[in-house]
Order: sequence, then C-alpha cells, then structure tokens
Amino acid sequence: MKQGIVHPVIKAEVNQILSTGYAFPLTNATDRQRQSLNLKPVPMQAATELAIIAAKTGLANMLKEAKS
Amino acid sequence: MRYALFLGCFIPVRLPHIEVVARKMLPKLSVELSDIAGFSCCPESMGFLTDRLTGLAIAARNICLAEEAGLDIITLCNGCTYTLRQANHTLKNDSALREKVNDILAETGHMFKGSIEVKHFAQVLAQDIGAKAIQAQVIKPLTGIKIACHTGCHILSPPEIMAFDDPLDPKVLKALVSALGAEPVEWDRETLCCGWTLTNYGDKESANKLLGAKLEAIHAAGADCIAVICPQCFYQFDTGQMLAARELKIDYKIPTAFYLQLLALAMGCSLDEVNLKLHRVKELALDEKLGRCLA
Repeated sequence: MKQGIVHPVIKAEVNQILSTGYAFPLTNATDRQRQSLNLKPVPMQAATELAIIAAKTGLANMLKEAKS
Repeated sequence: MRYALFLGCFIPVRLPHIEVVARKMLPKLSVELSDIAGFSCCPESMGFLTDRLTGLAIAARNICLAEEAGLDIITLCNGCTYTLRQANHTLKNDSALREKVNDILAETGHMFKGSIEVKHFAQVLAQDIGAKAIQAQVIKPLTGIKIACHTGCHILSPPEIMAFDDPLDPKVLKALVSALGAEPVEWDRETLCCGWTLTNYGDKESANKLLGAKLEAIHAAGADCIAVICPQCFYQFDTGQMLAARELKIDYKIPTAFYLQLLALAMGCSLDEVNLKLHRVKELALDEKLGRCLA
C-alpha cells in the first residue's frame, strides 16, 4: 500500500470498515435475519472515530491515491 | 464475572444465531455480558493487509472503550481475540508505540491505558470456569456423539501471547467437548488451518483442497460433527464444505456446530433453540443422535 498499489478487494474491505465499522457489507438480509432472531439491528457507532484515525495515520489519503 | 461482549463483524452480520446462543448461555455460567456502544471491527484484516499502525490504533480504540467501562473483553472469534490480544500486549509493552497510538487516538477522546485483558469465550470457559464446573451444569449429556474438534489457528499462536493451548497438540476444546459428555475423536490434519483466509484472499482451488483433506480425515475418524470456536472456521466448514463438496465430489456431509450450540444442547436447550437448522450442511443421522440425547 505504501507503494501506492492496493488490490481492489482489499481496498473495498478497508473502505467498508472505515465507513461502517464492519468488515462485511450490512444488507437487508442481515437486518431481516437479526429481526427474526429477536436481535437488535447491528449498531453503527464507530465510523466517525475510525475516519479520524484513518485521516491521522494517513491511511485515508493512501487509499484515495492508491492504484488497484 | 462481567465482561464487555465484543461481537466483532462476522457473528452479528453473518451468523447472528451464534450471538443468540452466546447471549443466552454465557450468563447461565455466571459470565455476565455488557454491550459497549461504539465497538468496531477488531480490525484483523486491516492490520494484516494494509497499515499496521492504523490497525493497531483501531484495535486500541476498541480496547479503550472497554477500559472506559472498567471491563475485560470477552470475544466469540479467534480472529478478534488474536488482533485485540496482540494489540493489547504490544501497546502494554512498547511505550514508544503506545505514545504514538495515543497521539493518533487523542482527537477521538480515547487513551490506551493497558488496564484490561482480552479473552476468548473458550478461554473463559476453560481457564476461569473450568471443565468440571461446566460438566456439573450438563443435564443432557451428549453421549455417543463423536466430535472432531477444530480449535483454529489464530487462538493458538503465538502461544506466549494467546495463552490458550499447545498449537501443535491442542487439548482444551477436547476437554470442553468431553465435559458435555460427547466423545472427541482423534483425526489427522487437525492443526491445519481451515482455509478461510486462503478462500478469501488467495487461491480458492488450494483452499478447497485443504478443506477437502481435512474433511476426509474427519470422515475417516468417524466423527458425527465438527466443533469449532471461531466464526470463520465455522463458515469454512459449513458453507465452505457445501461449495467444496461440489468441486471435490465429496459424497458425505459432516455438520458443524459452534461449541456454544453444543453447550446449550447439553444444558437442556432444544435443537430449535440452537438453530442448527440455519446451517448449510445438515445430516439427519446427527439430528437423530442428538434427539436421543435430548429425549
């Protein structure tokens, strides 16, 4: 990554973590399955702080500029 | 004992029925669970694949949230345990790196202090509660069920940090399975990786071959099912088995159970309550054997 090259799968996964806090996509199916098991929806309370961390370490910028 | 429940990503997003069984069974063994607002991905993949410092800072942020609540963390996943224990150990012992990470975290309002521990649920069961105490809670022993135990990689190495079991000869999960009245079987290739990482970030064909070799050994050992303590291993042995079976032309099915599901059955829950029906690989013979145990 520091050489400016990131595999698209990895780029997508890291972006997914930074934007939702989770490594896996949250879909309607996730909500439906949790609901059917009487579980609360998956909480999404981390993204703001993760964005701060990624900006501070330079990862956010590296991701933006990296080629796949 | 009260812990901050760290669910990670895989279980709440893809295997929520395991979350249900964990929330139900751990308190029955006096492991009280607190939900902490703001936990994120541990983040195992980020630490390995991209930028170590960001990975460490995100792991540290998770640890900070538990520190602020004054609770140790309990996890349900080998990968989360690996990431968080590694980060906790590293930051407790490397003051320069701790300072760097705390500088990154400053704007989020958190500060890593190094005041808590991170434990996998199987560590809590084996080390804090003990197999004997678990055995004492068993009301429906799983007599006659032969189980291939797959401990997984990430909880075993490096042993000086993970402090769980011998990576070359793991016995803890077998003891926990025995405590339920079931019979752990010996099988070849037990300590090899399930292949999850290879499936997702590497070569699917090689991953299938690895999984196929493990399944062949489990089948040869006469196991009725596979017991795991990691959601990735679970997924690989369940969904992965279904996919690999087509390619490798495997003509048998070996169901997989998360250890907490087996614990729940032995402690009196029904097959419906543990949701084995949601698994991809089902085998009537196992359901019948379990049914006899639960009758």
